[in-house]
Amino acid sequence: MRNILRELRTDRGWSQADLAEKLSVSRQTVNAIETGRYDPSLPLAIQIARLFHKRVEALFLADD
Amino acid sequence: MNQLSPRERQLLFRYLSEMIAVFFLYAAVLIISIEIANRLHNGPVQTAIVLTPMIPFFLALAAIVRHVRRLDEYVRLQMLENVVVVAGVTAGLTFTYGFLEGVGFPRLSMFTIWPVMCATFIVVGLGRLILRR
Repeated sequence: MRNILRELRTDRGWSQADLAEKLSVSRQTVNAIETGRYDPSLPLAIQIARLFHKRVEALFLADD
Repeated sequence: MNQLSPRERQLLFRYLSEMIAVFFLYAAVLIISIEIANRLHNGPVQTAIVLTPMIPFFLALAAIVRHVRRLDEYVRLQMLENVVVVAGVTAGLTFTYGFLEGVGFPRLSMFTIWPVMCATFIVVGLGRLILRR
């Protein structure tokens, strides 16, 4: 899956560490999601969507 | 270390504190148990005494489980993948040496497996870290 997490984060001027802190995850987790190496679980995806006031499907896009 | 978030540092500090405390307890129990076991005759009491260091060992195991449960989902997944690979490599190495023992290589203590597993854990962890970059 692709996602627009990096764009949303940088628009707010947050570092990966800032976002990690807000989500209570590690910086490497944020990095793995942003680079598409890891698709988060549904609870974490919802948590991310809520933080950015977006719907999950607006944040995470299927490859096809 | 400076790449760690405050939360990660807090988790690591908590884990290391627990492990250091358990290590000192293990060392104390080990020294005392050897001292006592040496003064006893072979038998069930001596056997029970030499096994007492396994109590702090299980406390360490509990600390590891608590730490893994506190990790976030991605880090936990990475760690579990590492453990699967390490278990497989350690099994392969010890099995290989088992066959070699059959043709005259020196017999090694079961204690050898632990350092082999630790060394494999470090190599696999570093290897996967480099491959990910």
